[in-house]
Amino acid sequence: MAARFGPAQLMLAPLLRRKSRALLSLCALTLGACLVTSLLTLYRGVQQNLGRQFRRYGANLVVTPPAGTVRLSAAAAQPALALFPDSVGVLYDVAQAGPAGGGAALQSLVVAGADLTQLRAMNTEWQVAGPLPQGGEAWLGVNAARHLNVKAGDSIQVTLDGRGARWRVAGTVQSGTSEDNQILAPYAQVATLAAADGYTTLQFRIVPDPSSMQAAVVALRHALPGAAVNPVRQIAAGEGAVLLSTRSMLMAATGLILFTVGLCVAAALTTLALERRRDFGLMKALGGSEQAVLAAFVGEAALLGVAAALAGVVFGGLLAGLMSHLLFGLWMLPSLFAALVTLGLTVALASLAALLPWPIVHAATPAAILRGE
Amino acid sequence: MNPPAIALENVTKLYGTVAALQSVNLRVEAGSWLALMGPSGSGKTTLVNLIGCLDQPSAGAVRIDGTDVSSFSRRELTRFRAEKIGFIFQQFHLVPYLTALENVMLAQHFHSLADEPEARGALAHVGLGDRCHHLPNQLSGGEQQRVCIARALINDPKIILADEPTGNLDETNEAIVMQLLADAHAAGRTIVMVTHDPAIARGASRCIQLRHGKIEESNARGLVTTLQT
Repeated sequence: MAARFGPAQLMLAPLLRRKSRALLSLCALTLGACLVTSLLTLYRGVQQNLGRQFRRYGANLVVTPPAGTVRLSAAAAQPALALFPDSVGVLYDVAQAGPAGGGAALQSLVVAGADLTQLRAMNTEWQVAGPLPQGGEAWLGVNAARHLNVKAGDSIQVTLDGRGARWRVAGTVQSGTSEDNQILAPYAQVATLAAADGYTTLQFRIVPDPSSMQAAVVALRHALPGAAVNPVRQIAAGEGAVLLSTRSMLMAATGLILFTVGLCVAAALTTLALERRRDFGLMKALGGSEQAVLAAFVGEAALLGVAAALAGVVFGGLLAGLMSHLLFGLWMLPSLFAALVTLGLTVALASLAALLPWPIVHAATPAAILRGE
Repeated sequence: MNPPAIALENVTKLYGTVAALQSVNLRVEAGSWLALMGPSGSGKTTLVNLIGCLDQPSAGAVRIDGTDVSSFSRRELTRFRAEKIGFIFQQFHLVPYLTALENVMLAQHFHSLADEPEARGALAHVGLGDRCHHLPNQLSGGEQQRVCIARALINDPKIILADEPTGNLDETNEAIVMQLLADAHAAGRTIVMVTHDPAIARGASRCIQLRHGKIEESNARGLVTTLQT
């Protein structure tokens, strides 16, 4: 360090040689940077992971056929389904069903045909007892199974407009919604039974923020002219509200933390400035301008901010990983963006806090130093 | 004819209603060594502050090296001070987190550019060539004062202001410091030295007494000069 001397040395020397003096500020800034990093990381992950969590609650946008038609053709529906990965087409009809080989009267039940893998993926909240139905198999909603008095492994007889089929019950589904009363079977089985092609509804799971939902509505209306494209208002609005409030809470927490850390650092740096008042006066006596003396002090605080930000990003990354694991079940690491924002905020905060004791620097007159005041 | 190094013309300095200096006139020729004596509260420090461009008079003019600094702004005073004046303090006033070498280079930094070989040379000149990388708290009082002298001399100022430079030193270090001041004087610098010690004042070529903000008398080495008040 002695080989050269300039502003950098003037800023570094007090940090390196009087570590204990700067420790409180460093700790406060590091804590702030750590929390900012972790909150920014979680903020980024909220949309992605809450969206993933929301998938459990099923579709939040439904497309139904144009007025006057009962189904959307498969040819027309496929491009629309291909627009969004979380989507499924469902063919509904009403069939007569009863236990196979029994003498019990057949009951009218809704039969739903769909890509059950996709349907299940969009409704992870469902409680399914039994494997995914293969050819000749079906799931029964728990109410439907009770009405028919069948269980997994039994077979049922299904008839529709004179066409009949015998399906084995692969398992039961408890959804808490209308599916509890339905027979859920692979699309091809139901299409054959109903002698129909196409879908009664298309169901979509869209990222639950207003702009994404609006964009999806526009895209689907364009892909399926005349079809009714309807967000499921209660779900979409509810999810949007949760997302918005969660993000707002994270932003507010970040702001509050920064404000608190700023106060703490300002107090610590003011104490430091008071302690260094004599040095400031001396530097001015030696010909240092007020700006140069203040710049050295602010630069020192900014360096402290850089060190705190680096430590904060590391610790904040660990904290974010732990929190995301607990909240979302996965390990999230801070992005470069989060690290850069943390660095910028921490350095700016430290610099601003160092500007607050400016009156102390200003008041440190060389004459007072000579007088020993 | 060269202007005097320092000229005070009817200088008054008021702190509120208290007059620290009252209509003081003083002329210090370039290359002279002035000892400034007087009891506490007599206005010595105020006078040194004015000469050192650390303060400005309430009335009158202060000319340093022919330049009237009375109406200078703070910024102009700072620049002028860095160019013309070197300070030696009784309490040394070294920056505690800078080494001896860095303390000397600090004065260079604020003057123009730090020059390490030159700063090392200045420390070697005051006998501290082997103490360059010591922090002030690793140096004795005498050594700290010598660092202070090296710092005061590093920018080759025309005027050295020494406020009780031996006040905190033992006899050995006192002699060393006085010799360094004598060397600076011999090199042609103007020295204004505040002291309470008549023995130290004898090292100067001229001595003045301050009392109640007025210059009352002057003598040094048997020389007696009547000073104006």
